[in-house]
Amino acid sequence: METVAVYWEPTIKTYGFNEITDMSLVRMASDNLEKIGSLIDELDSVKNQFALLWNQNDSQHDIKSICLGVSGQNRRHAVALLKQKCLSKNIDFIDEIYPAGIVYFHGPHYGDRYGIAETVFKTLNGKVKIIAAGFSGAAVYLVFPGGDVKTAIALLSQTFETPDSEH
Amino acid sequence: MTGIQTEEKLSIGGIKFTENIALLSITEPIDKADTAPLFFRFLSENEINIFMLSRVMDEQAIRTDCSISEDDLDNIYKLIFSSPELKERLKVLHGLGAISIYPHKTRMKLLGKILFAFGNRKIPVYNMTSSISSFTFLTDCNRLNKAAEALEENFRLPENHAPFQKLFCIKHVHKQG
Repeated sequence: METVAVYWEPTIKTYGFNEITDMSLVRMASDNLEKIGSLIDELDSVKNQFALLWNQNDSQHDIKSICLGVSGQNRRHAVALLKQKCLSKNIDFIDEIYPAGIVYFHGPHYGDRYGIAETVFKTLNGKVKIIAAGFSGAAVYLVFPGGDVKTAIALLSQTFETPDSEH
Repeated sequence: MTGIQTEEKLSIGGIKFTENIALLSITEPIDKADTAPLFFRFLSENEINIFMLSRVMDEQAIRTDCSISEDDLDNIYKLIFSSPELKERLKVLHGLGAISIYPHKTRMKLLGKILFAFGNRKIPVYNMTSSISSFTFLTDCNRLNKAAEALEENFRLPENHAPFQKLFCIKHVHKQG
């Protein structure tokens, strides 16, 4: 038996926009997941949280670097420890972007429908600098320089329907 | 001995596979980053869902890695052949699958141990992202079971865990008239 479900609405709905500010976006160059994994495991001693994870690849699809968003009240301590561990494990610490902020949101059936990425980038391109973006399953994560988070939310709110929108 | 090892394992709520994925990668210079927006428009116009996307800017370039179902590859190849710019900038890798692990609860320890487990078992990872509750890693489709084994060695799963493979999927169907 085949079941087909259809979901579509012209104005894309969200459950609202969430933000994380005061975040460090750090990049480490390594294709050695064992070493990077062991480093991140050891950061647990700071009792801090990560805000996001993704990677950059080279032209052959091999991992070139790992990007980690570090936020929370022990952010400074966690980043300092991360730099120290990179040195001791011979991992190249590329850079830290601070302050950075995240806008993240999700909505009905985001994982099953098309058109979200086009709408997001059409809304923001040329108006705010998007340092990085990650879409996975039903969630959209966008990273901006710290001060641009509010501007990005204001722009996105004009395009996406939020629970507070009047329609 | 086994009991102690089990107690030391971190618990996770579940693992999920998504099979038959293609990874499309675009690298474009910062001062002429107009390919990816056009590509997103093409995907939207052709009703192609993005399974996973990461887009990162550095000093010289913007790199976009976009995963879609392999069922949509025919349309993508038609697009590539019609655009010399895309032919140059778009790279395709197919035969991939995704393994998602949930919930992460923003735990550094969990993330570290997952990366370690994949590295230790030489599981190739082509793309990774976190979402609100889960991590998703892209690997070769024929290595998904090996990846799950690596996780089962290091994490505790619920005893009544559902099958890792998806049992159904939701797909948009264009309505005529």
